[in-house]
Amino acid sequence: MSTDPGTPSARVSEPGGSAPEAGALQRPSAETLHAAELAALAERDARTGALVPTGWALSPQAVVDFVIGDPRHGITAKFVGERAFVERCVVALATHRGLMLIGEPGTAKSYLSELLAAAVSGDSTLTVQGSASTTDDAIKYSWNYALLLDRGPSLEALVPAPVHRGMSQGKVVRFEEITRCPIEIQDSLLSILSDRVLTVPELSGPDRVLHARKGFSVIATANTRDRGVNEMSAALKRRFNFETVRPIRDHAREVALVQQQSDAALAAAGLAVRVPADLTDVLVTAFHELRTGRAGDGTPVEQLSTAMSTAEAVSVAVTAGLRAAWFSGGAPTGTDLIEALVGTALKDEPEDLSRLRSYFSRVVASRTSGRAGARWRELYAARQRLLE
Amino acid sequence: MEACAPAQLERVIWVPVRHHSPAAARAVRALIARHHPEAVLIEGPSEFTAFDQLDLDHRLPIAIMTWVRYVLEGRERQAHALYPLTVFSAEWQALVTARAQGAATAFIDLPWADLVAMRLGLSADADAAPPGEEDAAASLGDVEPGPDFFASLAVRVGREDASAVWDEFFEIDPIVDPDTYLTRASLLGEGVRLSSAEADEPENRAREAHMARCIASTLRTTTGPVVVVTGAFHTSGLQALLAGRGPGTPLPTPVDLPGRVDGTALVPTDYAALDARRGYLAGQPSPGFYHRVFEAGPDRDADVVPALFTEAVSALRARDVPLSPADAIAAMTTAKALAQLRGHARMWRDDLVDGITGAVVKDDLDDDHPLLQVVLTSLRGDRVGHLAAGTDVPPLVTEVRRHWDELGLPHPPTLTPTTLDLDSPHDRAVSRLLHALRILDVPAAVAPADLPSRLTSRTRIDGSERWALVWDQQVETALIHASRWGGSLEQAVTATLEYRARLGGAATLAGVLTDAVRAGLHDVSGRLGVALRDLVATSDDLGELGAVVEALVRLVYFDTWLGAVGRVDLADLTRFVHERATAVVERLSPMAEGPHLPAAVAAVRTLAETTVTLGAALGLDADAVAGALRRQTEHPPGAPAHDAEFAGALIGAGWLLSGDPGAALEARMSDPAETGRFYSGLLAVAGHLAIASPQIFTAADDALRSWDDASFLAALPDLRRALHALSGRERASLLGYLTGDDTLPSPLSVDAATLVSLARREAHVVEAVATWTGVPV
Repeated sequence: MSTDPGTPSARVSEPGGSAPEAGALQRPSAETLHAAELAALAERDARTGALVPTGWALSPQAVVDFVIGDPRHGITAKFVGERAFVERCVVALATHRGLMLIGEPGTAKSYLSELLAAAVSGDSTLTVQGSASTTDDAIKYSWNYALLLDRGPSLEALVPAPVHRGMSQGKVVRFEEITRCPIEIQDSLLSILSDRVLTVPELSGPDRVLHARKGFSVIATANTRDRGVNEMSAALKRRFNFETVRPIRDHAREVALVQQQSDAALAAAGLAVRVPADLTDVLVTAFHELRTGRAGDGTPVEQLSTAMSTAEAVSVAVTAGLRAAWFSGGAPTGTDLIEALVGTALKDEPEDLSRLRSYFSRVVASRTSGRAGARWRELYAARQRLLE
Repeated sequence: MEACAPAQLERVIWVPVRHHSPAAARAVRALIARHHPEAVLIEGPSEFTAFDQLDLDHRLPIAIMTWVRYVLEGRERQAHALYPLTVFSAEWQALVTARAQGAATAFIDLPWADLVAMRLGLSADADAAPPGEEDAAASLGDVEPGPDFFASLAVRVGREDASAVWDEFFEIDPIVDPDTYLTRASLLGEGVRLSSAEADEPENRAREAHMARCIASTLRTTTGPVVVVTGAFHTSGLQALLAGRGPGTPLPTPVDLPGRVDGTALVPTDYAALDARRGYLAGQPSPGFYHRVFEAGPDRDADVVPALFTEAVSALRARDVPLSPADAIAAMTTAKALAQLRGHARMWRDDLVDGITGAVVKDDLDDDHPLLQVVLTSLRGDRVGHLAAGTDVPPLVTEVRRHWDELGLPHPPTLTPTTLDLDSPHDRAVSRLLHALRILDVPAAVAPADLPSRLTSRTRIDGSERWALVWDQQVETALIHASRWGGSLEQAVTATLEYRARLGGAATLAGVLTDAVRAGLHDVSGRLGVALRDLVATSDDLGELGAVVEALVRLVYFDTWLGAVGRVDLADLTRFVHERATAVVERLSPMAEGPHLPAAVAAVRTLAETTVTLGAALGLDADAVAGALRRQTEHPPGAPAHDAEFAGALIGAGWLLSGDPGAALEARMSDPAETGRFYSGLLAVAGHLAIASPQIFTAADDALRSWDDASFLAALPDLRRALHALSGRERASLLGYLTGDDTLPSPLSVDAATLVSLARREAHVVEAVATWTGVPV
């Protein structure tokens, strides 16, 4: 067994076996899924002599291209957003500030963080999942107590957590939902971010102080709907560049994204059924209006208590597709959509059902005329489910 | 239109521009200097020809205002447009450079009045709704590029903002010499044109046809080079027209505008206003920034952003935003790194904004985040334009200035209170002028409170009118804007009032009529009076009629102060409305409780009071009113009755007229809850009479004593409301009557010694409160 705690492959591989193939995994990491593109971008960097910061796998321009897409060079668009926004995120990492991504739930903050880590370091697995029970051990390091008791404190006995590994290997560390951690735990990052040094008091000699290698950086995410960023100390906030991830504003792009993601999910489930394009359009429009609180013609709409994010729209579409495939054997219709909506989008707030009903009676009912209103008619006809 | 010979066309130097762009301005300047043209033609209002006015020593930004007035469907209408000019506008640089070289200059766009006529013609043809709000400033030259072309540009640039796209290709690149500029601008203009449907719109075609004709005519009368400066969108279209390749479809015929009057004027504007106008080819965000870029020139504009950075940081710190040096370093580093990543030769506006917001904003960043607004405001700049002394101004402005000075009014730079005495003829003249300015929305005078319309025991009326005066840049600008309504003050006020009169019913019209009287416009008020009479003749709304009577009565009561002396027509009108109101009362169906009730009660009160106070003067028929009231109050039992409050009001009105409290004494309300409402209505109308004859409360008193708790509580809110209108002393005297107890302590029946000791104790308490709380009492 390898004694180097820093080699990732030593951790994930089965003893004596090879890593499982990407096709058998439920959700391969971004660097595995898009390995070909990353390699192509690295090769392009080498060819054009682009400036690659020490510790980075790609140049900043290539990182932006990887995330936003570059059709001329065969790089798919992965994150739907403004190029200028992604540039700001990359610059935050390049200038050795932490990057803090905030936004409503379902706006793809974690996904963006994964893409950035995969592109910058080639590794998006150095992740700390924040929760109320996160402790220092999960962030910095912990001990193999058997070895510790047997031989005393030593580097072999130290079990590095993501921040330690990121600092010693010069990689990006992702800290998800940082504001869910208690403030004291969050503040353990303070000296790491400013001085870029981690002290292990139990050890002696050179191992006592770990200086971060170039390439180390932290990408944190926080939800503005739950605890928000009020639960973060001002000192820690100062060490991060904050970037707000907004919901997709362009209707056509959002529809394209929901369509693509639901198609992929349904294909992965081995089904031939797809959500029809006009039904996706209706779904995305409804979500957009309920999210922003305004109908297309400007009349105010009561917002639901849930976030009605794009990710939720995708799950509703997928659920509708699954329901149609398994129970009615055809393409999804308005009825499937309503069932999926009630089951997926509405959470624990009982008033949401009544708000949704009022949305239906005011907005959906007004759109049922004409040929363009066919799907809206279908949706409106199926509203029985809402009245229970 | 006939094609020009190719040899002629070779003399034309086409300069496609974006209206407020430093790069375009520099290119225009350089090209005119290079080619020494005989004539320079600019996209602008061709009806403006006073170029010597533009030569004066103005402080930019200024704008050319062009307007047209006409009569449609019996009403006067008005529409105006503004063409702003800044030091970094290509048009301004073209004008200045051309005139310095002695070249002929001209604007070549379709005259605004013709454009308006065409729009009317189009809407008439299409049988669409009439043209929208004519009083809004038009925004010409805003052509949005089609989605696909723009989307592909925006994707490359990484921003969806039109000005960012332009900046990327023209402003940020330091090696955009005039020839590079021309190539890129022509391509951009053509791309926008091909992808947008705007090119075929009748308005655009008419404008381009006019411009092409002007260019052709200039070519015929010159032999040297001719520089043509237009928006990039139009360039390729004009080239096609001059080469004879026009679309060929006929243009719509403009409608004849009856009573057409048009004019132009120079008007100062400011960067805040410019920032607010957007659109692809006109309007400019952060004009202050581009101004500095232009003034620095292509060699030294790398210094602009760092200087602005310092200013933005100072502005943020002035707002108590914690921005430490470390934060400032981080912001600058981010801005520089962004510039490098984006391939900008030097830091630019968006790099600066992104750098600062990234370092400073620690929560949800959306478009109206206050910190972002502070940064954008410091980039916008606060520059305010000013016309040079001696610039021609419209006759309205001169008239108002002269009038103001003749009346001896001051020119205070800030709002200064002034009180007028309406008994003096001089002050009445001042009042008329100030009201006229108020009607035109010129902020020279802040409006006073209105004179009351009722004479109650507590109203203090004198002939004083309190105003606050100011005379500053904004007043001058507003006066120039107001001149689009008319060549003289009277004309402008008349047109404005007639415009407002179309908006509402009788009550609005009465307000407009009052305004007309106060501004001293007798003809207008006469005409409005006739219109009002027609509206009133068919109105059944008691509340509205009451409001009209109130407004008219005010004019009659205070005729000396309001300048309505001898206005027989107003007296006649008041009588007419009074009669109509009486007729409506006579025919009233049972009034139910609802939002219309207070207005109806007020109307009944006004009717009765007016009959009593002005009956003789106006020749009002008191008997008719009394009869109408009696008819309404005497209902056969079992028939539906009025709401109790209204019934009380009617009885009160009858009492007021007849002086006989009879009906009030006999009033019996069956339901306790109604008693309160009844007295509420009664006291609203005849409160002062009730206090003088308190015996009318006896019945209520007896009834009250017999109610059980629940009924009492139900009636309590309305009873409180009823007695609310009485003063403390009136309430005390009523209380004295009801209890029959004359020995109730009145405020004055305390012996001197007690009074002194009480006063001393009170002072002690007040002092203690002040000492211990630190709050002076």
